[in-house]
Amino acid sequence: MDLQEGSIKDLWKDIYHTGNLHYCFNCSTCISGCPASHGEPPLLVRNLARKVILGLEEDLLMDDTPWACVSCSRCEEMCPMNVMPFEMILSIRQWQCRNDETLIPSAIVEIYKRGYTQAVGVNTELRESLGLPQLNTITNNPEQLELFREMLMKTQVVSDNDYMFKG
Amino acid sequence: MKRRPGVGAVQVIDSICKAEGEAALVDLFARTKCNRLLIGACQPFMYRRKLKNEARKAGFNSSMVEIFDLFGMARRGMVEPATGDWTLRAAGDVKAELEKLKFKPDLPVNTLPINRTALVIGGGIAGMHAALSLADRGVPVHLVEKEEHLGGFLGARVEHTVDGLAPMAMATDLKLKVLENKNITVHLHCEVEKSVGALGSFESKLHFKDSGENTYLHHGAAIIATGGHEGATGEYGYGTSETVLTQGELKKGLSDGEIDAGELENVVMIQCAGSRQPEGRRYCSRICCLGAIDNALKIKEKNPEARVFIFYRDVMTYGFYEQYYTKARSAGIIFMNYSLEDKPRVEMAEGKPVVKFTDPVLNEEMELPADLLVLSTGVDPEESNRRLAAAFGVSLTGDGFFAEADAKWRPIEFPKVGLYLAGTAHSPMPLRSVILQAEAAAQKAYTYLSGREVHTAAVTSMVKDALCVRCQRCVHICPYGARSYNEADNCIEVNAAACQACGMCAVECQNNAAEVRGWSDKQLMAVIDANLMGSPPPSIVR
Repeated sequence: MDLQEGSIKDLWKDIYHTGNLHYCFNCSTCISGCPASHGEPPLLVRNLARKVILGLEEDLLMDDTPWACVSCSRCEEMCPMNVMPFEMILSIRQWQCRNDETLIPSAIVEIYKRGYTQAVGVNTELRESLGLPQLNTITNNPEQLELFREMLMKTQVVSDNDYMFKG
Repeated sequence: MKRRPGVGAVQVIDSICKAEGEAALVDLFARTKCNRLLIGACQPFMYRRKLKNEARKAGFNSSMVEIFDLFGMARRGMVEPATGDWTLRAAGDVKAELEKLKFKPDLPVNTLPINRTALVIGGGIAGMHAALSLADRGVPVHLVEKEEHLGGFLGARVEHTVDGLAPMAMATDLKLKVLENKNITVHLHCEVEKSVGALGSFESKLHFKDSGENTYLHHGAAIIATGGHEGATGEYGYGTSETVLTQGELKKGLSDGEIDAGELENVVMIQCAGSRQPEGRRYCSRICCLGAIDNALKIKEKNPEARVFIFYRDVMTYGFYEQYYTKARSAGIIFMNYSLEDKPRVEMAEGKPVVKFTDPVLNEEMELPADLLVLSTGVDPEESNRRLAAAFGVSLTGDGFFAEADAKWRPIEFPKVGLYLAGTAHSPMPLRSVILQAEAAAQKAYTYLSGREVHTAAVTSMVKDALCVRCQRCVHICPYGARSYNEADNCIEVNAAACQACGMCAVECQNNAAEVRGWSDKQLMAVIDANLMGSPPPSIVR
């Protein structure tokens, strides 16, 4: 790869405009605790940070591993340089969507139906067996769910892609 | 103990390390009729010199006073927690020490006057600092510089360092102070060719390169501060293009405006060029990472749009210098790791260097065209170190720097008393450490120079001339240059002032002609006998 031709100098400003990103010294702590690092292909947070720093735009645009992040925020807690890798991953997703609308996730339909983004529903039985109280999600409040859906429909990302909600 | 032959009196004194114990001891010195004194105490090295002084005042020959570590010697070799009765072992030790003292000859104590003049070799920042430090204490100083002007490597080339020091301004300032100081005599463009003598009275031969004349200087101590210089390299296409340069050249170019940071787009720096590898410099020069970071920050300061890549193997910004590494990263300087097995490769394309490397994070082959390729080549010791080490009889490390007596306990001294070292002559180090070392060396030298006389170690080696076959093995093995062959009188001579009584000559001598006074074979045999006879079995070590 030619770093002169194939890299954009200030890409990081475009993607993740925080000074902390540059403090990264590639220690890999973010990867060591990441559950998605066992995926196929693995989510390698450090490599994403490296690509942003080096400005490898094309490479980063084609990379779909940021979507494998399960938002557990472990990398955020462990990062010794306070780079906030989780925020970076969200920023990369946003940047990808801004640049390529085909990347807007079909999950948005699911979010519309369910009312929340993370798959918290799967643990219902486990929580019951442990005697933990039921999770207070938006599904328990039909009125608020309706309100949330209205708000969601008003966002630009949905109004621009409303074909996804037809049928 | 009292019943042992030769023992006149035994006295138990509590805690001689405290004032009341010491008073009791001084009282004993005055009262006793014995002519030899054996003191067993715990950790006596803390106050050995003080006790010997007291004994000398009371009229004892200090060689007749033996102070030994009663507790430590007995406990050594015992399994922890101590098994058996350590007092029995201690009693055995006392017997052995008694035998040694009994056969000890009455050694003369030589008192030599101290020549209160110092010689400082090297007119760089370290040398000038040390010279001024001594001169301000009233010591006349000879400052010897092999170049035609004072200042040294750093003082002539480097305008600023990463931690905010200004070596060039500092050197100019020091130079003025040195030239103004009436206690300092500056000798330019000359080298020390030979130095003989010991603490208090050295004689050094000074050779002037211009006139070819020699001068002899007399001094009581010497500080070696010869410094070093930026290393040379032929790696990474250095010398083939103007766009490949060293950190020193870049630093100079940036400060005198020859290199315009505003025009630079991509700057690549490669650390450890020719260093930390089997061929070339095997050591880490410790200051190149700081130098590279300083230059990179300067480029970034003038031109934030420029991209600076630093290829490193390990970033050695140790201690508080770590803040500059962090600062460099926050400024957007990109650090790239490489290994000795997979060094970056440099090719020239249209007069500009193209660096090809494997990024270890992404594990991908990359290439990077650079406007400037800057090499951190490390620090080389001065060529003259070898000659100087031979002249003074001190040793160099395998890398060509001067070796200190002990890295932990005597970091600025040579094994030979009266010789000290400071600055990069010892090893490459940041300027702050150089100044600290120069100050320390000056103070250490002053501890001796401030005295009027030196009591030479009464324990020195001697020659039994009748047994000596003049093979001169002892002359060659002596690490302090204390032995010499006198051709006129056909005998081996010992310089009592230089001898440190290490005993190497006694070991080397095939005829037992060399002997260290106070450590004769007779004494040592008696010690062994005392230890073996009637003492508890030496089976405590399991």
